[in-house]
Amino acid sequence: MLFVAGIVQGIVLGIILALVTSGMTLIYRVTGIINFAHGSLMAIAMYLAFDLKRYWNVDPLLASLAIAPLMAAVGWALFWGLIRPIRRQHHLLTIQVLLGLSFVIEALLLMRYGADMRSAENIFSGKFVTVLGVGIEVTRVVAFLLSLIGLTALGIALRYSDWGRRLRATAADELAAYLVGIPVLRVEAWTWGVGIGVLGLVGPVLADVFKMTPDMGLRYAILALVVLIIGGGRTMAGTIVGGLLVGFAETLGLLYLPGSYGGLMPYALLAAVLLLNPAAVLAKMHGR
Amino acid sequence: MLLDVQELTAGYGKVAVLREVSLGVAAGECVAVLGANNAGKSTLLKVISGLMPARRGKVLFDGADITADSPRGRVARGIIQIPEGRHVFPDLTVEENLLMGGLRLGAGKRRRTKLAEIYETFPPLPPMRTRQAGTLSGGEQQLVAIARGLMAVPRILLLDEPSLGLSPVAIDRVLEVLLTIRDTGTTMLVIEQNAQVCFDLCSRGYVLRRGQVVTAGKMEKLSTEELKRAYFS
Repeated sequence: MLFVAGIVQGIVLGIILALVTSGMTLIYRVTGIINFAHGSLMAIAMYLAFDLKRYWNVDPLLASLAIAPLMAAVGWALFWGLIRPIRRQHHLLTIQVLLGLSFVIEALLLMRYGADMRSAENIFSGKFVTVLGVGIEVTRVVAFLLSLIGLTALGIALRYSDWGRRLRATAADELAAYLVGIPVLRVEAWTWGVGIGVLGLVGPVLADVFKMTPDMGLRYAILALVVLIIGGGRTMAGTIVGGLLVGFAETLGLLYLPGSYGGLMPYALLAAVLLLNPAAVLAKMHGR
Repeated sequence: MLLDVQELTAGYGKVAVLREVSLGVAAGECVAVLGANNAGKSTLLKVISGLMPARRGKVLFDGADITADSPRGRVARGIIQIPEGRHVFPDLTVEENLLMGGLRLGAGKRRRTKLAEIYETFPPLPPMRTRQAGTLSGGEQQLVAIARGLMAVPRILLLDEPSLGLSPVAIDRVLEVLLTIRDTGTTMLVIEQNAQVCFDLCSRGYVLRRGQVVTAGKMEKLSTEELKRAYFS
């Protein structure tokens, strides 16, 4: 019974993680950059929802309609203003800048909201639903459904639309992309827009699911990175598989292992994957 | 002159790879650029396609100064390059590669019609349409790369070493295709180390050595002596 609970919770968490990571995967595939500020940007989306709820009593689910495009604009601006000027230089520079951004965001959130844990309740808060005999918060299920929709939409767009083809082409061969007339810089900016916009879609709902503290950013960035590496960092399917595996690792770990050892499980899984198949993983990380 | 390169100087950092290079291609012509490995031939095409800036000099196309145009702007004008090493999009299918080549035509009927035309012109392509381009052989990829370039209805086709890395049989097939393209009146500028391909294909040629034009003229007039000097001294 406990096991079924673990599996169900694992799937729910896994799909949510997959959506969060899909933004990071997209950015990595098309622009070649690991976005270490990914978690912090999600934190911004969540705290924005908190503010909207606190001051204007706007339900976070509604707020995400506004926060998603706002975060997309933030992603776009981040690319044009911060990433584009520096990315041709040493690749460690971009990582440092994004890590630094993560710390700056953390400090700003701390100054504005204090160190206490926050949450933003939505219309489904406190309600539970039973799935396969397991009780889950409705909010989690909503986040799960939103993520599923988001992943499906992204997957379809990437596979069947010209927009998706342009993205994949730019990711595959930048030189050739220029030569067929793809506006490479614009495609990259759009990728950052979508990659971060996705955080604005699911972040507000997660303000009632994940613990919100100013320092959460880096933790989620690393978790997303773990999902990215395990999933291969190349396909949507891989990201989903990676998300599910990490979701299972975390929930089953928390259920069966003493104390908070469960939280270590995703990293243990990463270690196992790297130990067992480093060549494949590294080959995928560094391109063809 | 459809393409007019005037006193072009370009390079990387402090090194000038092209030095005051001038050449021209008239509409309908097939012109060759020959030279050894580091003569600057690929750099020349990079500048013409907008992938690299010119330090000095101009590039004129159909009378317009395109020296500062973006790569996208040049594609929009019909300046289409088939790069060295083919550069097909490996994760995309053959059909998706061709669709990307046809971006200049928009996303609708015009492109679909052109795609059907290309499939008719190149019978080996339709059976390969759903295959990932990265899984094809060198010769097959070159065919896809050329077809992809043709999808854009080029006003001038720039080819960078079309025979490089191909087996003799594949080279023959590519040459056949290029001859057909030439015979339809498409303007072409061909970079090649393989002089034989140039002689079969082009009417005029320039010889580049260490970034400078050392000889120019009709292909049959380019003597063996001059070529030897350009390549080997």
